[in-house]
Amino acid sequence: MNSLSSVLEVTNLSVWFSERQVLSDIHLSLFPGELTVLIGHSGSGKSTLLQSINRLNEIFPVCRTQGEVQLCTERKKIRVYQSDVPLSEIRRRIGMVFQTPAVLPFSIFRNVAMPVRITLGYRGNVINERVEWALRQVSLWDEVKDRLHKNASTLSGGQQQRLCLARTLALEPDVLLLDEPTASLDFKSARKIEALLGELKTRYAILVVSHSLGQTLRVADRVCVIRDGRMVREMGKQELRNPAEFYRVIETYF
Amino acid sequence: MPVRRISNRVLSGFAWIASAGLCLTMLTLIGFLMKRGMTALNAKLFFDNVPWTAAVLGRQPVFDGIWPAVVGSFYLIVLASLIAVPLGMATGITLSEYASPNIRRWISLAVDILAGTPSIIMGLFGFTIILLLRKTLLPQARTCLLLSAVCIALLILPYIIRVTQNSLEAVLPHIRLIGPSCGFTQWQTICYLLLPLSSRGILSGVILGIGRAAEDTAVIMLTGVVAQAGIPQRLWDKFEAIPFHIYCVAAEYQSVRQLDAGFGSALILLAITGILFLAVTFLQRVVVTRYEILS
Ligand SMILES: Nc1ncnc2c1ncn2[C@@H]1O[C@H](COP(=O)(O)OP(=O)(O)OP(=O)(O)O)[C@@H](O)[C@H]1O
Ligand SMILES: [Mg+2]
Repeated sequence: MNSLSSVLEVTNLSVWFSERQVLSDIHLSLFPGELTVLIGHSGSGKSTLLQSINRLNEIFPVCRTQGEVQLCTERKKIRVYQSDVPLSEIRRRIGMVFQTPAVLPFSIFRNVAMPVRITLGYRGNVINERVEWALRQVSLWDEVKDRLHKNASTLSGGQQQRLCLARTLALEPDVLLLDEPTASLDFKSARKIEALLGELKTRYAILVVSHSLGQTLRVADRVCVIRDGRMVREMGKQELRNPAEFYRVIETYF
Repeated sequence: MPVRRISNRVLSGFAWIASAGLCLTMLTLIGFLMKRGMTALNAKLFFDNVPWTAAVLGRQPVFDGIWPAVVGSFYLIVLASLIAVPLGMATGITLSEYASPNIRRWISLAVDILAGTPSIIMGLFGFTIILLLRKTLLPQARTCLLLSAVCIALLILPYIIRVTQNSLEAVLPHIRLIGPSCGFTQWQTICYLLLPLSSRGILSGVILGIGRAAEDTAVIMLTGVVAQAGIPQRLWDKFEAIPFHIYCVAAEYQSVRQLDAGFGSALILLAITGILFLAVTFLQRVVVTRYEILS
């Protein structure tokens, strides 16, 4: 695999919160059609890595970031940390779903529609079509089509998680960053999301944080292990074919 | 019985007594006002002997009724709110979303000082402004409705600032992050996410402000209220206001009936603020439903 075809490339990324270094010298590439899984113990910096890819960490005044992130879209290369492309567009192109399902306390419809209207500037019927499309993508449409105008907080945890994913998909991202999309889901809903990820990865480069090794084996094309803010091991397809080897590596590096 | 359980009982008992006491005081207050004021509540209290249509349409001046004071108070409150609410909200937004910690400290200090300023000082301030204007730019300047409204606005500004800031800061971090993660600019996040989510809190500040604006007498006495001013036609006219009217009645009454008319006016003042509360609440409802249901 050459770096030319990567959709997203993280080079030499370091992040500090106040004086504490949380990420050191991270290198990471995401490729089209591939699902990369990020694993590491709690507090190792996975969420921080995701949030520094779309510059969300900048919201915290104590955060300092160094290094480079490059997003390669069909037409242009965007250097995320030093580009003349507006930050809001960068963040839209790097779609992100949070660890805790964060639905807006608005209606289900509005949860998807409002960002579409504000960020993409769409109006009228286009919005309705886009909302339906996004909800179908995450196979939520049939469950909610009769109560689109009910408050989104009435949805179950898994439905909320999928709603958040739909909201992100509706914004036409190039890359998806998903922070534990199946945390707090029962295994059936989790399997549903895993199947969904399998479909989505044909269209988006995806980076998923996961705490489940079984899930990682099921969905990953590549696995990155992060420990105390350093990328300590990367595994490709071949290594993942052999579960015993995978577990041995995890034992050593986790 | 263990000490912890006893102290628990005592505390919760005290809390109950305090809330019951509050309700009782409220009821007594309103009941007393009702008892004394109700008898005085009639067209004569409002319009004296002028037919009410003529008075309301402004065709005939009312000299002995409280109608001009009702209108004056209403103008004053609305005007002061129109000045203070946008300014206060803007400052609150700046404090919570834009200001660096250092600047925030300074502005906060200023807001606290403003909040602690007695209203008589605010009145003196307005009065001094007029004196200054008379000596310099505007020799014909005098105290008036606009000046009172500005000074009252200064008085209620800190409530609105603080409450806006606090309710914005209370929006949970994971909700707050949704905006930027969807590609909103900071301003869009504030407009479409944070303000709708904190509208209820801000509303309570506005209500507090309205109450304060309705009640204050010290400021307006120094900045433009007079007895018998009639209904103000322009911003630079003198005006009447109910709290001032009540004050005059209480100071000069010669019969029980006159005093009762004062209590009646107090009821009217309560009614005006009540109506404004309802109006503001309704406005917030409309805004919020628009945000929650429609796209
Ligand atoms: N806003 C913040 N301010 C200060 N420190 C932070 C902040 N966010 C994260 N950290 C610190 O950065 C480190 C990494 O946190 P991060 O959330 O990235 O871990 P994680 O790998 O996602 O953990 P988990 O699996 O539990 O979600 C932690 O030690 C945390 O305390
Ligand atoms: Mg995390």
